[in-house]
Amino acid sequence: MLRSLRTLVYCFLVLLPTGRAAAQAPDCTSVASGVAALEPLVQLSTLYRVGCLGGSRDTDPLTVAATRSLPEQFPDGASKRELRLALLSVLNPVLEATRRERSLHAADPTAQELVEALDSVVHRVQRAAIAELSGDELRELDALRWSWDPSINAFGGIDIPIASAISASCATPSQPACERVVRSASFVLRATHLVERGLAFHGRPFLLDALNASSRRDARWTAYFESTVTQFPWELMLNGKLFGRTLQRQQGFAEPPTSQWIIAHPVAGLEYEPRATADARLNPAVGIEVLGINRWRWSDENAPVRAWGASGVATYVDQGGTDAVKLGVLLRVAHQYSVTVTLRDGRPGWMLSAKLGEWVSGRRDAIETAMRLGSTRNAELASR
Amino acid sequence: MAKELIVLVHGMGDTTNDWSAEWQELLRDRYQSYDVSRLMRFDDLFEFVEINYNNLFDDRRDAWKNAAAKVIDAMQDSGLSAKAARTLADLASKPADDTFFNTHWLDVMLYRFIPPVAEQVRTRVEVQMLEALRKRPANEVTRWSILAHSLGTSVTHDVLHQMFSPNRPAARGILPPGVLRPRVLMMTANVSRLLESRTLVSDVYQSAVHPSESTASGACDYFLNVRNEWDPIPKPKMFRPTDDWPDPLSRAQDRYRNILINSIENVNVHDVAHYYRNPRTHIPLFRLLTVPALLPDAEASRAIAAFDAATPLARVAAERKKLQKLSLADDERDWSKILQMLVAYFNL
Repeated sequence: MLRSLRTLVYCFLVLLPTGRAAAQAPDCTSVASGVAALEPLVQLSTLYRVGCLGGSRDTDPLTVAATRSLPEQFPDGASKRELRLALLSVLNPVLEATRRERSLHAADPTAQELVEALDSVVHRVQRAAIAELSGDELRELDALRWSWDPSINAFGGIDIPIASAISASCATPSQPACERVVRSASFVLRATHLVERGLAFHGRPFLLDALNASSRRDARWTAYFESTVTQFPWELMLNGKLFGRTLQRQQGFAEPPTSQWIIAHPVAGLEYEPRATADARLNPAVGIEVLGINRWRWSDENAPVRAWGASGVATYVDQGGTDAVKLGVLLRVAHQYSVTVTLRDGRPGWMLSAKLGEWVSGRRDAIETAMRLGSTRNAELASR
Repeated sequence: MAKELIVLVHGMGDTTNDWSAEWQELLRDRYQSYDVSRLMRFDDLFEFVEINYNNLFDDRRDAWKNAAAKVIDAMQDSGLSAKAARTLADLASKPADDTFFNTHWLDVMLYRFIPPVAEQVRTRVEVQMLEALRKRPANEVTRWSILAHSLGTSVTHDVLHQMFSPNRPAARGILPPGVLRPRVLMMTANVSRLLESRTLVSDVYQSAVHPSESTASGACDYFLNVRNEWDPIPKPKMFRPTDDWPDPLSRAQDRYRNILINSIENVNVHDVAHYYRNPRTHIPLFRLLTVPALLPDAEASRAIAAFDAATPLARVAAERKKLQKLSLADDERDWSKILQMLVAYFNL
């Protein structure tokens, strides 16, 4: 019977709203009754952890009032002023409730000490918010400082001695002094969690800015590997080594490169023979880019644009059943369009990249078709 | 508060989407075997986030294979033999074969020795972590914790260092530790020191990735380092900080915990499930994720005793001998010995 009475008293004290009486969510009550036999600090930590003290399960009027102006969706382009107002909309009801709580516990020094300590730190945050200080400038604005840690029975960075107050007052849990301190402690945990929520909202731009920057870098890395010239393993090792040096020089922070060396890069292309018939003008060809470079700039859309490159090339040509090598120079634009000019026995040769070959072939066909159509039209007109 | 995110980071291997399903099921199942689950239901409190980056290694292999194929096709079409080009193309397409080395060890080699690949992986992982946090309700506090395994410990270490280092450039967006750092960082089969690189941070003990009692620095509230004594992979250049790392106060608060287990259920001691089935691994995690007192010592002892009683000691005695033979010195740095050990281990 004593245990049932203790459960009832505990639920009443901890879950009683700080304002007008309101029904708690049933699950918070069942959690409270589930831990009623445990030490007060464990009970409070459990309720805190499951969101019954200032969290999403808490229907206490203070929680409702303090979170009324915190939207679930972070508003796009929220200004610093809006963030500050949102934070103050949490702090103001907390400070108001703290004033009431102080007057309730005026006669109990231990309980009063907790509430005074809370009042002091919340006021510091309020002053920082009003003065438009940023998280960099004032550690009180770090949300994690307000987080209750059941592993050490302390907050992350604010000094409100809940554990020692409960320890000192709760040698016997049912004593009035213990009950008062537990009630104060539950109020403090609720209030600090609300402040933590306000600060988490206020600090959200840090997350969004970092995500934007990393998304941009991610897009560039994808483009580096997929939109530039494919790097074979040995090329990746060399370019990797060079990038590694940049990374090391910049203490582990470097943007995706804007160039790549090309080494011993086998290429397939199309040998272009302008004097051949249309169906024999482009023939498969193979070469090796011996040494070259490809450079570009990053656009605002994270594409590798204005790309150009040049390489020294050796191409292979069939000469009477054996391979003959022709040396030349490759010029490349937009990563995929290249023309190689070779010279052998005083005669120039051309090799086009597959993309350029398609383009040339398509254009030439289109021109010839247009010319044929033009000739036909002229003939028709002349005959009328 | 909103559900706590448990972020899972895989190690080397042929992982694809939903790779973590078994790990999630195991954690959920083990949690529900303890009384704490009656007060704090798992699915009410936690939500998993699976990180994927293996596809980036696969992309590299596919790109080499495709580029080489174009050259080989052109040679066949043209009738050219072009020996040098053929040799290079063949060399480039070899990593694309689906051998164990290519689908597993090549990942590690690419991450460790090819900085652009590593940086792409780190960026992709950072995006996934931040995106998961962004999706949480803005009016709630989102707690998150990270469980990493094997190669994932190195990737996670590097990502967190870049996220919370005081040298992080402003252009990347400052991430104050006191605003965003994870609560628990659990590194299982930790190879972050083995794979540390001067291009990022030459000494992981000096990096930003350490627990801290202060919210002004450090990449986590708690750092759990888990190693199975019989797992040869995290042994070379072992992660083993001094007793006062990262600082005496944080250590006094038990914010760094070294969890050494030595059970052998089967020879695959490196497997993540092998680690997490052991109560000595998952109990400290559950305590930090909930309220420690709700998983009391008596219940923990019973769970450990039951687990130990079910381990087939006799069966694994022979396997233990094989593993003993593979064990290198704690400070072994000779890569040829390390590679021989790795090949031998996976041929067991």
